Amino acid sequence: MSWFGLGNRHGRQKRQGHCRRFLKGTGTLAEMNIGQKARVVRIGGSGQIRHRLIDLGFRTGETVEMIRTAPLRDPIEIAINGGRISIRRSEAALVNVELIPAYK
Amino acid sequence: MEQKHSLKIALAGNPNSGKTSIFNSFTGARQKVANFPGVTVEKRVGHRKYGKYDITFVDLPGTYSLTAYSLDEKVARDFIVNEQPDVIINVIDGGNLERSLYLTMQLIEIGVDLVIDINMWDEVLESGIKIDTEKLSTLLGAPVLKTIGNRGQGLDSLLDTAIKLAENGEELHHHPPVTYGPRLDDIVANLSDEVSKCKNCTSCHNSRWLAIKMLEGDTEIKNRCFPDKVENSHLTKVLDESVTHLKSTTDDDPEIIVTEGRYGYVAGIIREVMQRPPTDRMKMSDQIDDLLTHRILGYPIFLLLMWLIFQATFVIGQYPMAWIETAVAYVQSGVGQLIPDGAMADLLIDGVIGGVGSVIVFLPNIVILFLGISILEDSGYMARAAFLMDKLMHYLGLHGKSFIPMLMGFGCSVPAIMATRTLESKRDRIMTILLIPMISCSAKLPVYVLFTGAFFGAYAGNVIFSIYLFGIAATILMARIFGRTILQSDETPFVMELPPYRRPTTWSVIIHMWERTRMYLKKMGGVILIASVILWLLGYFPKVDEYSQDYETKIEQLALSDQPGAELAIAELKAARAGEDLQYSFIGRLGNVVSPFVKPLGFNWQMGISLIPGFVAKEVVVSSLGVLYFLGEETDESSDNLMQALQSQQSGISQAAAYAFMIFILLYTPCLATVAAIRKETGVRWMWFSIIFQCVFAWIGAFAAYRILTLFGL
Ligand SMILES: Nc1nc2c(ncn2[C@@H]2O[C@H](COP(=O)(O)OP(=O)(O)OP(=O)(O)O)[C@@H](O)[C@H]2O)c(=O)[nH]1
Ligand SMILES: [Mg+2]
Repeated sequence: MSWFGLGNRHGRQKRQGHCRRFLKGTGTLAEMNIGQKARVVRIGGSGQIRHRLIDLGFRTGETVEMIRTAPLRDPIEIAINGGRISIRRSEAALVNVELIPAYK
Repeated sequence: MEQKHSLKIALAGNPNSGKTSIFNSFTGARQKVANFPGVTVEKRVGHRKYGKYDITFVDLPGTYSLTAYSLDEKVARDFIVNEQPDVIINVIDGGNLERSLYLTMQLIEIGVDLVIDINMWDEVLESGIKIDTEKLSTLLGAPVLKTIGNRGQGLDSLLDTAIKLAENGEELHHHPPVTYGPRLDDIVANLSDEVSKCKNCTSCHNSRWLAIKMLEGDTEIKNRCFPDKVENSHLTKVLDESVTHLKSTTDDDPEIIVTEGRYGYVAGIIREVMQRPPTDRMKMSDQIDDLLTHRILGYPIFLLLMWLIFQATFVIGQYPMAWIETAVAYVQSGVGQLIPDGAMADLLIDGVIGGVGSVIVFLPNIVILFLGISILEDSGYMARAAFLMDKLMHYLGLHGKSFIPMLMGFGCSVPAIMATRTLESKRDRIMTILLIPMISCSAKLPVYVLFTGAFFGAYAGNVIFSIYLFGIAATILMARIFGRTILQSDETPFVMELPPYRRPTTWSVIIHMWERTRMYLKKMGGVILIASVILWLLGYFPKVDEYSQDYETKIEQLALSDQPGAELAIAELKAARAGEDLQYSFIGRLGNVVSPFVKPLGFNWQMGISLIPGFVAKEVVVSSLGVLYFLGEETDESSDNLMQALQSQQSGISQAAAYAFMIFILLYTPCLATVAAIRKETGVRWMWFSIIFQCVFAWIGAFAAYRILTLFGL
C-alpha cells in the first residue's frame, strides 16, 4: 500500500509478531503495533498531561489507530478523529486501550 | 456625518485552524501564517473601518480548551473572560469538527456571542466530509458560516454576520446550555446557585461557568473566587461536598467527568450533523510521510533539505548580489564627483555608503533563505521535523516541540524566542531560549557570505553549511551541560498535532519574504546607518596634530616631479598617512585595547573592533568592517570591494582566522532585540547569564577552531 515500497507502516508489523499476545486484549496505546486499531478505555496520568490528552481528543470510546513510529521508534503517530497526533511512548502508556480485532 | 460605532471582534479557535489567515484578510495585516499548531502566541490587534463601524479585530493564540495550562492558552482565555469582546468568531477546521466543537462548547459556556466559522471548506469538500451547517446552527443556537480563509472566500458574509450579531445580540444569542447528563447537571446547578450568591463573585458574569471550572479544579478560578477561605466557607463546603460525591459515585476525577460529559454532548451533535466518508483525509499526507519520516531515509532527507536551502542561499544569491555591489560602487563614485572633497564627502562615501552599502548587498541571500524557511513552514514539514527530532531532543533533556522555535531561530531569534510560549514547562522554555541564540540566525549570514566568499571560494556554500552544523553541535553540547547543571530536567509531555500537508500559497510565501525584506531595509535605515556614522566619526576624530613626517610637502614634491613610479610612492605615502590617522583616532585607541583579546584568535584589529558594534545587530559587523576598511584607504581605491580588501595581504587574515571569526559571530550575543526578548520572556537574571555566557563561550569556540585549523595549515 505504501507508495515507495519502503514504507515503515506495514513492513514492521511482521517483525513484531511476538506482540500478538496483544491481539483482542487490552493494553496501552504505547504497546500497539503499526496498523492496529483500538478503542480508548481509560486515560490515566494526572494534571496537565491528562488534560492535554483529553483536549486532543483522547476519551473513552474513541477509536485510535497506530500509524507509524518515528525513525528512532519514539514518538509514535496516532490517528484519532480523522487527524494525526504525535505522542511519546511514555505518554501513550497513560492511555489504556482495547484492541479492535482486524477481522470479524 | 454619523458617528462611528466601535466594535470588538475576536478570533478564537483551535491551533492551525486558520485564524490568522482570516485576521490578515480582515485587517490587511501581514501576521505570520504557517502550517503547524502554535504559530500565534500573543494576541494581535488590528483595525478596520467597515460601514458605520470602527472594528477592532483581535487574533488570539490557538487553543484546544480554555483551561490555563500553557501561556498561550492563558492569553486567549484571559482575553475572552476579562475583555469581553462584542462577538467572537470561532474559527473551526472543518476537517476536525469534533475536536473543534469541544472548544465551542466552552465558549458557549462562558456566555459570549458566537459566530461559528467552518474554515478550510475546500478541504471539507475535497475529502467528502458532509456537514449539515443549518442543523448545526440550530443545535448551537449560533450562526454557522463556511469560509476558505487562505483564499479569502466567504469572509464578507462572515463579517456581516458578526456585525449583525453584535447589533442585535439579544435576538440571536440563545445558545442552549451544554448539558452533561442529569446527574452532573444537578450538581452544577446547585453549585452555580451558590456561586451566584457569593459576594466575591458578583462581578463575575457567569456563575454556571465558574461552577463548572471549580468542579474541574481550575486553580486560577479557585484562587480568584476563594481569596479568603473564611468568607466563603459555605461555598467551599458545597464545592467539597460535590467533589466528594462525584468521586464516590463515579470512581473518577470530577474533571474527567466534566470533560467526558462535554465530549458526550459534542458526539451527539456530530452524529446529527456530520458524515465522514470511509476514505481518510490524511491519506495523501500519510503517503508523503512514508517517505519524509521514513525509518532510514527520514534523517538524510531532513539534512538534504537544509543543505539545499543554504546552498541555494549562496549560489543563487550571488547573481543579484553582484548587481547590487556594482550599483553601490557606482553611487559611491557618483557622490564622490558631486561633492567637493572634505569631511562631508568622506562621511557620506566612507561612512554612510560604505557602511550601509556593504550590508545591503546581502539582501538577496536573506530573501532566499526566507523563501526556503517559509516553504518548510507553510507545507507542514516543520511539525514533521519536530516528530523526527523529538527523540534526539529528548536526549538533550528537551522537547520535540522545542525544535520548532529552534528551526525558526534560523530565521530570526526574536520570533523564535517568542515561539517558546507554546512549551508548557517553564524549565523547557528557559533552556530553549538560552539555546536559540546559538542557532545561526539570518543576520549572521552576511558575515558568513562575506568571509566565505573572500577566503573559501568555491567551497563557500559548504563552509557555511558547516558553520550551521557547528552551531547545532554547540547547541547540543550546551543543552547537555545546562541539563546537568543549572536546569535539571523535569519530564514534560510531548503531544502534538500533525497537520495535513498543504501546498504553500504563493501569496503567503511572497508576503513572508516581503516582510523580511522590509525589516532588513528598515534596519539599514536605522541601526546600521547610525552605527556606521558613529563608527566613522570615531575613526575620523581626533585629527593628528603632528605626523611623523611631513606627508603634505612630500606628496606635493612627488606630484611635481615626473620620476617613474612617483604615483606608486604617492599612494604609499597616502596609505601611511591614513594609517597614522586611524592609529591616532578613537577607533585606533580602542583597537589597541581590543587587540590583545582577539590576537589569540587570529583576528586583526579591524575584526576585533567590528565585534563591538556587532552587539547591536550582526549585520553591523559587516558595515563596520566596510567603514573601517574604507577609512584606511583613499576613496579612489574604493572600487575594490570589501571582500577583496579582506583578502589582501595587508589585512593578514588566514583561512583559519576567517573560520574562527565566523564561529565567534555564530556564538556570541546575537543582538539587542534578542537580548530584549530574552529579558521579556525570562527575566533580567537569565538575560545577563545569557550575555556573559555567550561571550565566553564564543571566545573559547573561536580559539579552539583557530588553533585546530592552524594545525591543519589553513
Ligand atoms: N486549505 C486551506 N488551508 C487554509 C485555510 N485557511 C488557512 N489555511 C492554511 O492553514 C494553515 C494555518 O493557518 P493560520 O492562519 O496560521 O492558522 P492559525 O489558526 O492562526 O494558527 P495558530 O496561530 O497556530 O493558532 C496555513 O498553512 C494556512 O495557509 C483554508 O480555508 N483552506
Ligand atoms: Mg495564528
